Amino acid sequence: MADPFVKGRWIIFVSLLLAMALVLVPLPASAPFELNYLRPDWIALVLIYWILAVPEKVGVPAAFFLSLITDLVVGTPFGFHGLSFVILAALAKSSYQQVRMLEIWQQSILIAMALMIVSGIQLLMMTLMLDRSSNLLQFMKPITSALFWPWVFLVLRFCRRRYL
Amino acid sequence: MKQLFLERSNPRNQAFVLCLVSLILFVIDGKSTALKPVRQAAGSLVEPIIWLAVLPRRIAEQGLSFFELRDQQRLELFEQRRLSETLQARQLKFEALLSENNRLRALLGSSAKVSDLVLIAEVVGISPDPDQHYAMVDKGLNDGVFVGQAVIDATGLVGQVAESTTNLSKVLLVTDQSHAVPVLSVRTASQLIVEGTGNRNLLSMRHVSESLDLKVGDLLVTSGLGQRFPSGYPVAEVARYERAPGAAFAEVLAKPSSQLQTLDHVLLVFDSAEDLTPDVALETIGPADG
Repeated sequence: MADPFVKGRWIIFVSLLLAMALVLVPLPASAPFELNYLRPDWIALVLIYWILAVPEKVGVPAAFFLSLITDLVVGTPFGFHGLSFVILAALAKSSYQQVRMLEIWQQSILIAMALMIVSGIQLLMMTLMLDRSSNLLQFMKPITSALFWPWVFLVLRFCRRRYL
Repeated sequence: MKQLFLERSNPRNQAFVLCLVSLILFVIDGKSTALKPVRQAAGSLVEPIIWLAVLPRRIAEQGLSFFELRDQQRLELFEQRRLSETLQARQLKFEALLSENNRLRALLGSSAKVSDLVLIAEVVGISPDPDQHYAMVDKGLNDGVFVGQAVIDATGLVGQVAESTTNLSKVLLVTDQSHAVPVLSVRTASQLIVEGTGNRNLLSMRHVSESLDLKVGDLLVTSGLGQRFPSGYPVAEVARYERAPGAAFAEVLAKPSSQLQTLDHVLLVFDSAEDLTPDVALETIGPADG
């Protein structure tokens, strides 16, 4: 029985898995260490894409589960990515009809803004609740992420049309 | 997969509830160790993702060593042999010193443990978050690794095991903001505590009183106090010592001894042979009869 909710779901899992691996791949030791602050947030980008593209398959609860796995893999306390992924998912889910209509570069700007808010929340969580300081370079991450959005979008759209 | 929430429940309510859940989890997991068993069990399940991330580099390394010229390898082997000979020669002197030291200590009525059992582990990844300093190594619970275990490399103390899953362990580095280690200044034997700063090549010391004899260039080694780290491993070298007039304490910064930027292989230190799984091959460092 081909359940429309299940069909093609593996491509979503695989893309999220690859995004996690991409986050974990270490930079070469010769690269300046600060470059780590500029690496795009691949998992959030892939999550946003799937919610915009197939909101009936990926939603807020899925984003929460994803955040728990991300916390385990990245080594942050449980719930650190939870808040941001849930907020991103809720934003994407409530506005996918409008966002889909926009040009890719306009989507990039929106995503940069959303990720900026989320970075702020993450910074507050770390500094206020765990007493850890951070580098303000962290606020460059949303911008590099937004620059990579068009490529993520095109690759995942190709995958969706092919497999989903 | 069955939906966790009914489809008709309002996504905004879902989001609100899950945000709260996240915050609560974050506070619990960030401030206490209550969720550590859950992390350990679930961490073993997601290990394959970490291995997946390591795969490209592994393949690249294998490929490179395959194409590496034979002459070059022979040259490297030659280098290694020479190094090994010099080290052996140095070891001879070390052993003489050791026996002398032990004799002197026997006169004083105390004994010191000089050699340690170590397990060699390969570093398979470093933290993707630059504010958290940890390294993933390829040994885990199966190899007898335990939380709190001291980790060293050829040049000094690296850190300690913070989390361990079946085949992987997370090693918290000495430079992490949450890390502190009790040390001893070799020149004056004064006790200090070295803390991580969140900067990859700086450590700091708080509450260094003005009367304490400490100079730039002083070597700090683990003191063994607190029973977590074995004593005698180099931790850092004092790099800056500043006394502001009127300040209660001097500001001291130190440079870590170990090569934290280019970690490749590390050694996990075991206190005694008892807490080991028998099938794990261990090496002894220091003279055998220590």
